[in-house]
Amino acid sequence: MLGLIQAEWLKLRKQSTAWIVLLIPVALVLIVQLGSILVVLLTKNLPNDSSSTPQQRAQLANTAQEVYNGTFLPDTFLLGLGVVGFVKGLLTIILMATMVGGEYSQNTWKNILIRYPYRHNFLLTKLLVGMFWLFVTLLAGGVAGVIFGFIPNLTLPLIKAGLKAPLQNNEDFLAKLNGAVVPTLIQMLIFAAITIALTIITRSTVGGLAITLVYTTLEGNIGIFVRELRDFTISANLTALTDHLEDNGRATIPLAQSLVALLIYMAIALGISIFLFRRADMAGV
Amino acid sequence: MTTNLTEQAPSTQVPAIELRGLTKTYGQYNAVNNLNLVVPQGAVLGFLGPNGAGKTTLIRMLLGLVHPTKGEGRILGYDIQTQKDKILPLIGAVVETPTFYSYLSGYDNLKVIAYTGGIAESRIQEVLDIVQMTPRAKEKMRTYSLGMRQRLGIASCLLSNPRIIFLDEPSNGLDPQGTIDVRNMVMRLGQMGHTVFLTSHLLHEIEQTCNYVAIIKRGTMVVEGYVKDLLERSGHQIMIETQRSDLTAHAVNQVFGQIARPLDPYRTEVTIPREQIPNVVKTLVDREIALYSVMSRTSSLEQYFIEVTADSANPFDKQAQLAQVSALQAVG
Repeated sequence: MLGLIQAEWLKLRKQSTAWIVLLIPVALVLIVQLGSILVVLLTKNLPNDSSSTPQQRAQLANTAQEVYNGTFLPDTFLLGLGVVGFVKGLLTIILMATMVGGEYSQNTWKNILIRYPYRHNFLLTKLLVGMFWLFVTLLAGGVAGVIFGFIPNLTLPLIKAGLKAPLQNNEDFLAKLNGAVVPTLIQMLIFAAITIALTIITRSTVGGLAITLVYTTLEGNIGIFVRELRDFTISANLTALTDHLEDNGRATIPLAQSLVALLIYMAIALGISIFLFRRADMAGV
Repeated sequence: MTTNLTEQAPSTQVPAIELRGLTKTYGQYNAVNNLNLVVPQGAVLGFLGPNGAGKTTLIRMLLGLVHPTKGEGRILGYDIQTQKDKILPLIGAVVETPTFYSYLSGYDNLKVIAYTGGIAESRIQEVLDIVQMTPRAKEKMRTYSLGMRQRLGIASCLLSNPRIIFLDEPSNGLDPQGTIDVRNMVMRLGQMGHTVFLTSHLLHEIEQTCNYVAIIKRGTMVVEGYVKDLLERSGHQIMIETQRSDLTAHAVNQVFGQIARPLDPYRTEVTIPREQIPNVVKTLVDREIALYSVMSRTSSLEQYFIEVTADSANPFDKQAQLAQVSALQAVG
C-alpha cells in the first residue's frame, strides 16, 4: 500500500490539473484582497459637502474600517479558508475526476493493475492522496489569505486616513476555524467518493466531472422541492455540522444524525466504487 | 518473520501456462471459447490468430484484467482468478500498444510501476540499460516515438525480473529497424531463460523468434506445437530457378509426386520436407537440367497459418489467399 501511495503521489504532483486546483483558490484570495482595496478606494473620495449627509460619510468610514479590520490575523487566514470553502466542491470534483478518469483516458489502468493484486487499494489510495492534496489546497488558501492580506493591510491606511488597528479578539477563533475546516474536509471527502464512483461508472474524466456536478447540484436543491428530504441532503447535514462546530445555536439537525447521514453518503459512494471496480473487465478502449 | 522461498517458488516442473476450457463471453459473442493450452516453462510461444481471434482477450484474462466466464487458467501452477497475489510478481506484460503517463518522463513512468509492484528503484537503471533507453529516460513520454514506447514497455516488463513475459503485438507500428530491435530483444529474453508469450501478426517474426506456436481462430484453438514440427507437417517450400521450369516441374513430380508447379518460364515452386531438398537438387543435376539457384521460402508459417485459419466454408477465399502469398513470395 505504501508503494501505491508513493506512485500516486508522484503522478499527482507532476500533473498540471493538480496545480491548477491548488492555485485557483490562491488566485481567488488575491482577487478578494485586492478587491478590499478597491472598496476603500471607492469610499475614499465622497465629497464633504451638501451632496452627502454626515450619516452616509460615517457609514462609509465604518465600512472602510471593517474592511481594514479584516486584513489582520486571524481573519485573513479564515478569509483564505472561506474562499476555498466557496469552491471546494468544484475543486474536489475536478481533481478526483482527473485522477480516476485519467487512468481510463490514457489507458493506463492496464499497466498498473497487473502489478498489484488488490484493486480496491488503488481507489483507496487515490482517495487518500487526493484528500491530502485538497487539504494542502485548503491550507494554501489560508496561507495565501495571510500573505496577500498584507497588501491591503499596508495599503489601506495610506489610502484612507483615520483607520485604526482593531483590538485583538480571538475568543471564537477556534470555533470559527473548526467550522471552516471540518465541514469543508468532510464535504470534500464525500464529493471525492461520489466523483470516484461516477467516474468509474462512466469510465471518463468528462463524464465523471459532468455527472457529479449535475448530481451534487440537484442533491443540494432537492430539499426545496421535496420537503421530506430536506434534512437528509448532504448540504443540510453539512450546514448542521458547521452550526454545531461554531456553536451558533442555529443547528436544526442533531449532531449525531448529521454525522451518521454524512457517513452513510460516503460509505455508499465508496462501496459502489469498490464493488464496480473489482468486478469490471479492463477490456481496453 | 522470514520467508521460506523454497516453499513459495513454483516448481520448475509445472507448466508456465495451463488453460482448461477457458472461455470469455460478451453477451452472445464468444471472444475466447473453451481454450485448452499447455505452455512449458522456458518456451518462447508465438500466439497467432487473425484480428478478433481472441488473442488480446486471452492475455487480459491471464493478467487478471478481464474475468473469465468459465474454465480454468493457471500460471506457474497458480489460479489466475484466486491467486493473483502469487502470479503478478512472477510476470511482466505489455498489453497492446504500451501506454504511459504522457506528462511524466520515461524514468518516472518506470518509477510509478516500480512503486506499484514493490520493486526496488535501483532496478530501473538496469532495465533502462537493457533496452538502451538511458539517454532519453529523463525526457517526457510525449516526446517518445512508438519504437521508444515499445522499448520502454519491454523495460517495464523486466522490472520485476519476471519468469513469464507477455508481449502483445510488440512490433505493431514499428519501422523495419524497430521491428528488428524488438525481435532481437525477444530472442535475448528467451535466451535469458524467460518464458515469453508473444502475439504478433508478423509470421516470419514468430518463425524466427519463437520455438512454440499456438494458433487460434474465433476464440478456439486450431493448432499448437513446436514451430519446427508444424512447418514439417506443412512441408518446406523452395523456389528453384532453372533453364526451363516446365522440365523442372515434370522431373520433380515424376520422382517425388505432385509437389512442384512452375511459377514462370524459369522458376518452379516445390513443397517438400526439408531433408528431401538435396535429393531434389540431385535429381535435377542427374537429368542435366541447368540449375541456377535454389531459394528457401522463409514464410512457410504464413502459408500454414492461412491454411489453418482460412474459412473452410469458403475454400475459394483460402485458395485466393494462398495464391496471394505465393505471388508475394515469388516477387520477394
